[in-house]
This record gives sequence, C-alpha cells and structure tokens, in this order.
Amino acid sequence: MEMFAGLLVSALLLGCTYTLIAVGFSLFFGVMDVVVFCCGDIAIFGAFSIMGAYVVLMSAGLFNTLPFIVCVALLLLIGALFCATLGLVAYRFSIKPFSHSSELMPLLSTIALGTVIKEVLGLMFMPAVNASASAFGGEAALKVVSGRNPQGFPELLFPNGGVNLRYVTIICVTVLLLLLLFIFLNKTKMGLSMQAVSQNKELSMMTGINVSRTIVVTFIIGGVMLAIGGFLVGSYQKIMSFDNGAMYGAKGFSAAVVGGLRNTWGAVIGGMLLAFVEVFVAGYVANGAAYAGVVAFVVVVIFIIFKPEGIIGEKTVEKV
Amino acid sequence: MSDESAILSIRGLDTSYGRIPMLRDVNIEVLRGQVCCVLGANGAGKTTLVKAILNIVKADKGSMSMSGEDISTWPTHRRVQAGIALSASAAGSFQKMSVDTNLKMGAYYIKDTKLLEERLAEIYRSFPVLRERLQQKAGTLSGGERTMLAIARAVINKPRLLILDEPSLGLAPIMVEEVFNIVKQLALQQMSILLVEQNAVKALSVASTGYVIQKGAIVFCGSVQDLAKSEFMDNPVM
Ligand SMILES: Nc1ncnc2c1ncn2[C@@H]1O[C@H](COP(=O)(O)OP(=O)(O)O)[C@@H](O)[C@H]1O
Ligand SMILES: [Mg+2]
Repeated sequence: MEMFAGLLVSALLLGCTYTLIAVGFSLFFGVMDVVVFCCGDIAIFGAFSIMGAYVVLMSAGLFNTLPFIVCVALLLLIGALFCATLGLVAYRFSIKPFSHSSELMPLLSTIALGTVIKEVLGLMFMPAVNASASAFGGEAALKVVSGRNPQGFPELLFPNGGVNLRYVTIICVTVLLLLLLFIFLNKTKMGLSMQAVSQNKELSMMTGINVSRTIVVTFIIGGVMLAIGGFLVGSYQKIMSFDNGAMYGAKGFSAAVVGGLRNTWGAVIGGMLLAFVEVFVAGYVANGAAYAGVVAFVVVVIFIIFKPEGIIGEKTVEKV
Repeated sequence: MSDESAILSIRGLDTSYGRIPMLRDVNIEVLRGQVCCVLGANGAGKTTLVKAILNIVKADKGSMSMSGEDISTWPTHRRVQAGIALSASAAGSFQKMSVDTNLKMGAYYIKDTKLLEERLAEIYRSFPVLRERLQQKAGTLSGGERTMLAIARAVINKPRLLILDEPSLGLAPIMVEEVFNIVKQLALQQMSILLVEQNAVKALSVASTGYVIQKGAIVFCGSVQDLAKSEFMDNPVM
C-alpha cells in the first residue's frame, strides 16, 4: 500500500511536468495546425534561464536584500519572459514564413530551431551567465562551469520545508496554472478568439477576429506555460541537462496526441496517463524501469491506431 | 463618382490564386438600402469576390470604398468592425461551441453587454429554430439550422452591408423558401444587402439590381427587370 501511494505521487508529479509541455503543443497546434517540435527545448530553455538568472541574482546580492518569495517570483517572471520571446521567435522565423508551403516545412524548421536552442544552451549558457553575473555583482557568487554538463536546479520551492511540501507545491502550481488557462480560454474575448481560430480560421476572419494578433498572443501564452513547465521539470528532477528538450518534447507531444492534438484538456489527461503508465510499469513490473518508456509509447501508438481523435476529442464532421 | 448613395463600390478589382488570375476588372456598386444580387455558376468566382470584399483574398488591383470612404488598405477585422458582415454557410461554424457562443462570436465588436443581450433576444425572436438549440454544439446542427445560424451570426451586428454567400446552398426547397423569407424581411428593414447566388429565380425575387459573373468577369449589370429578360436567364439555375 505504501508503495502504491508512493508511485501515485511520483506519477502525479511526472504527469504535471508532461502536462504543461503537452498544453503548449496543443495551444500551438490549435492556432497554426503545425506541430511545433521545439516545445520541449523551449521549456528546457526556460528552466536554464531560471537557473542562470538565479546565479545572477545571487551575485547581485538580491537574495539577501529581497524576500525569498519575491526573488522566486522574479525568477519565474524572467523565465516566462525568455520563453514568451522564444515562442514569438519560433512563430515569426520558423513557422510563419512557411505557413503557405507544404506542411512538412514548418515541422522541419521547428525541429531545426529545437537543435539551435539546444546548442545555444550548451555553448552560450556558461559564458552568458558568468558574464552577466560579474557585470551585476563584480564577482560571480557561483561560477557555472560548462553549459554541457548537467546543471543543478536551484531549490526554489520551500527549500527548508522538506520534500513533501515541494511536491505539493508542484501539483498546486500546475492545477492553478491550468485553472487560470481554463478561465482565460473560456471567459475572455482573447481566449474565445483562440478557440475560434483553432476551430475555423476562415470563419474567424469573417467574424472580424484579428487572427494574426490572436496567433501572436497564443505563442506568448504557450511560451509562458512552457517556462513554468520547464521550472517544474527542474524542481522535480533537480538536475537538468541542456539536451533534455528532445525527451520532454517527445513526451509532451505524445501526451498531446493521446489527448487529441487540438484539445487542451485532452493534453492534461494525456500527460497524466502517460506518466501513470510509465511510473506504474517501472514500479510493478520486474525490471520495469527499462520498459517504462517503451510501454508509454506503445500506449501512444495504440491511441493513434484506435482513437486518432484523442481521448476526449469528438469527431465532428461538418456536411456542406 | 463614388457617390454617397453607394454603400459599397468596387472598381477595377483583380485577384489571383498564385499565378492563376481569378477576378478580372470587376466593378460593382451596392446601393444603400437595396438588395443587389450577383449571379454565377459554380466556380465563377462568387466566393472569391466576397472574400476580396473582406480582404481575406487579397486584391492585385483596383479600389474599394464604403459610403465614399476608401477602404482598400484596411485589414479584414477593420472592415468587419466598420460594418461589413459576411454570412457564408459554406464556411461552416465554430463546431465545438454552442449556438449561443457562435452568435456571441459573431457579435465580436459589441462591447456593451446590455446591447448584446438585446440583440441576442432579437435574433431569437427572428430565428426561433436557434432559440430551441441555444446550448447545442453548432457542429451537430442540421444543414438548414446551420444556414440560419450563419445568417443570424452576421445579422446580429446590424451591419451597414450584409453579404450573403449562397444562402440556399445545399438546402431542401422548403428551407430555401424559409431562408428567402428572412432575406425579404431584412430587405423590408432597408438593410443594404449583397446577395450572391446560383439560384437566379430566387435571387431575382428579392433583388433590385443584378450582376452576372462568368469566369471571374462581370458580364451583365443592370436592373433585375432587364436581367430577367436577358439571355442569362435561359438557364435560371446557373
Ligand atoms: N484557395 C484557392 N486556391 C486556388 N484556387 C481556388 C481557391 N479558392 C477557389 N479557387 C478556385 O477559384 C475558382 C472560383 O472559386 P469560387 O470563388 O469559390 O467560385 P464560386 O463561389 O463562384 O463557386 C474555382 O475554380 C476554384 O477552384
Ligand atoms: Mg462559392
């Protein structure tokens, strides 16, 4: 029983990290009909910018002058800002220029952008962080050695409160963020426009929705979701590597597919399902850890074959 | 001569799809408070024309003005905001949204919630079929109901110019009758309407001026009386 409870918590936590990345995929796919393959890399970039900003804030002595919670908020804000910008860059330079050519083009160009993001992290993280740390603090409080080494993610969620409090916070942050997204999508004009563009782009234009502005806002919001996703991944795993993006991207994408690519709530369920399968296979099957990832992807394949519209995706075919 | 009596005037409009030219030198004038129809066979370029009026299809050449004001450079949302409403049943609906939300999306630029409620109430009076299906997802409506929704979504704005793109498309004769009764009602209320149709007989019964479009070019322009006598009416369903 104790083992079951432990696995349940692990699965929930892992699900939280997958969920937000899957939501990013599904938001972007909704408005652009394009799988933005660099979502995982954007999230990892968010985690790294938070790590980098942490070192800089330490060097500047802000952690001694400002309340801890304010510093954490500041770090999250910086991460969100970086990822929102990166979301816009992805849209402007690797999706929009190809939106009139074959569907394969934006797919390939976002994969390429993912590689660029990854390599920029590996090559530039150390010099960028050390340079700005010394610019702010005279001497860096912490020196980042190499961007290609795994980095320790700072303990920002109740560092003195023990591991349980941190886990509870990860789950609460995820739930809160999804709740905010739900309210935004259903109660605000911009949120409804995002849904409208996702369901029928041409009709959205005819209705007078400013479609290009809606798309831009979607990429900003998706970027912020990915930043928080990256932050949760870091807080949960504690160690991050610059090339984690591909793995999280694949998991987030799979979760979004299981949920039905266009469906934000499907993405949440898909993320949880994938995490539960992984964790419970690893926990209960002998030598399961080796198979966990494979079994999870088998689940995805089963969904693609038998329920391609996703868990709660409904088939609505409009007759004309 | 862009006089004040024309709500919309289009001059020398050319459009193309890629390198293939579509509309050629189209001139159309819609007079205030009147119904103007554009007749044409399948593929003649009618939908292209209405999309060009909203700048969804870009014009290569030509100019457009609304009540004398040049709108040629305006983006789509600005044209809609200025009072051009397009109802195209072929464009479908927001399938996963309720009928109610679809109508509210149509009323995108009505900010005043009280006004919005009034307009919705009016719409439900004129379209009782929609009132019965308020919370139903638009994707599950029948063809006739969906046409009603498409018209209602445009009419809720009380537009300065209402464009109807083939409202009779794919409907049973009895539904066509019902749709044209609504068009007649709107015409009686002095709404300026550009009616695009293949069904010439029905269109001529409500319009006062008519155009015929063939292969992207206007080949007839005149009163419906003249149009009814012309050789274009030898095949009344175009
Ligand atoms: N997006 C498009 N790209 C290329 N060709 C198009 C496109 N839309 C329409 N066409 C072509 O333009 C012609 C006119 O289409 P359309 O304006 O929809 O005709 P109508 O509404 O009169 O039936 C057709 O031959 C159609 O195939
Ligand atoms: Mg058409």
